[in-house]
Amino acid sequence: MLDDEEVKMAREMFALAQRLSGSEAVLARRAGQRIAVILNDLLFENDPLGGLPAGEAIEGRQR
Amino acid sequence: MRPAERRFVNPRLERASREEIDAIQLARLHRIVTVAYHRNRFYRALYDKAGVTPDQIRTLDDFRKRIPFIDKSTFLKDQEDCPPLGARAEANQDRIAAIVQTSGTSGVGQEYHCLAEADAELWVTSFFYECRWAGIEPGDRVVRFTRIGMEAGGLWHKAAGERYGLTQFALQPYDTPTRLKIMQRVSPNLIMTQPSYLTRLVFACEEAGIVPREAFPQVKAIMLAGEAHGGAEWVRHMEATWGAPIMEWFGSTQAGGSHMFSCEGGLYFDDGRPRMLHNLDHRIYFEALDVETGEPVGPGEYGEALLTNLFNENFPVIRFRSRDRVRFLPAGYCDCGRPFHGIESGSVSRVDDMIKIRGQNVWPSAIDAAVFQHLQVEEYQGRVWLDETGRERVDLRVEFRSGAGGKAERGAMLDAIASAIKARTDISMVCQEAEAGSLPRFDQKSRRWKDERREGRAGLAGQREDRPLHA
Repeated sequence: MLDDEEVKMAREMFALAQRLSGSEAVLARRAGQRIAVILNDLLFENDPLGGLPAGEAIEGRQR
Repeated sequence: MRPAERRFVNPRLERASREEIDAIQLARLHRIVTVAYHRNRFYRALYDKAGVTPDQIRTLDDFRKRIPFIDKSTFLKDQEDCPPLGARAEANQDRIAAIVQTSGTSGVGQEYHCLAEADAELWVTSFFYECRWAGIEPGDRVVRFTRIGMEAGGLWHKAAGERYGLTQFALQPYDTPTRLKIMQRVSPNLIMTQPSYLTRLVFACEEAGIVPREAFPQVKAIMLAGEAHGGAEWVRHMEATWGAPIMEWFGSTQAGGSHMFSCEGGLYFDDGRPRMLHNLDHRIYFEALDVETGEPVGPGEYGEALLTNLFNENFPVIRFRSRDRVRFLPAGYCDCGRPFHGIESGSVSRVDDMIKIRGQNVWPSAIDAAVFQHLQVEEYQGRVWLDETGRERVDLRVEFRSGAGGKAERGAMLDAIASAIKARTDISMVCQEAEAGSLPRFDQKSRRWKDERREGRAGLAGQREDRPLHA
């Protein structure tokens, strides 16, 4: 579905969105969270075996 | 109709081998059971009681044999014991992005289901498959008639349409003549509705002197769900009337939305055999089990659909008994070649007695309660049917005990019953008195309801064959 370059790009954007979702500004935080969710879905669809990319160890808390 | 080309959403998955799909499912099942076991009090109690731990799930067979099922009553009890959302939602309440409610308005009850933001995203992007397979593209115009409230259906249509990029016209608030006027104005590419209402629209068109395929020439597809359609003849007639293929979808609120869809080939093969709805196997694990034995049914056999959401880790739904009776068809049945299992088009009915009337789930037990609260009532019979204009009608014949008041008093009771039913179900029913001794009695399970809509649709289609709507 995604080629290697697109996967790389999506992961980088996902990392950036996660950083933005830590912002103190509500608009920036929500934008980061929303984009992270969309990219999370894209990465899951691309690799269902890999699971949700934001997932932590099961014993911890899923993000 | 034969699919001339495949329209993929995810070519890698849609061209994967069945073995690859099985591997995805097993890995995801193991993950979801493990998450539920470690993080969710509701599932931990359930699995402790069943004596099962995640490390015992090594095969799909292990999953089926060891993991206990849950059903609507399980959710309801959980939410009753731990209001309002249940222990299942307890650990992740800060992640709730959306709440939906099951559409049943009576009887057994309605439960809430929670979606985290990620779940909502996956929930709506399943719709991409339905659209692509039906030939619907971003920018296309859709009309739909679903109520947008707490129920999943309306919310799903709206959110999914927005994400896919459809231009949406939500016509639920208007009466049928107004809807037709708006449809003429916007010239839809897609119509999403129930089979009964599609029939109703055809007759409303006729009354208004509208020829559907001429008045709505840009319709690319009609998507149906919510009840069984009228069979091959009905589908053929509707496709000719609208000049567009009929597609079908299936899902449930509990499982996380809609997840089985017709592919490019539509509902029937050229030889008249029904095609299948393909399950998104990488998102929802679907089992069709024999209700008596709990064993998987074979290809072409009927069973109850059990559903497991493979991605909802915050509010898991694992082995949910849908009570939907379906005819199982394996990957490979359809000539589209997709590796997804599924069900026969038009085969969905309810394992229990729930009846879907005008889009509402109505349980006979709710009607029983409204009728039998009058002690003078001996028995009743209900009938759902289509009138000559294709409108859904519900009649109730009520038999009183001998000596149950005078005519005026019985008439007042019938009015009171109709009002109580309307209040419980939001459905208007015509209540009439039946002669003493005229209705059947039941020693064991009662059979008080007759659903004559399928025959009605087939009959109406036949009538129209004799007198075409569009010469």
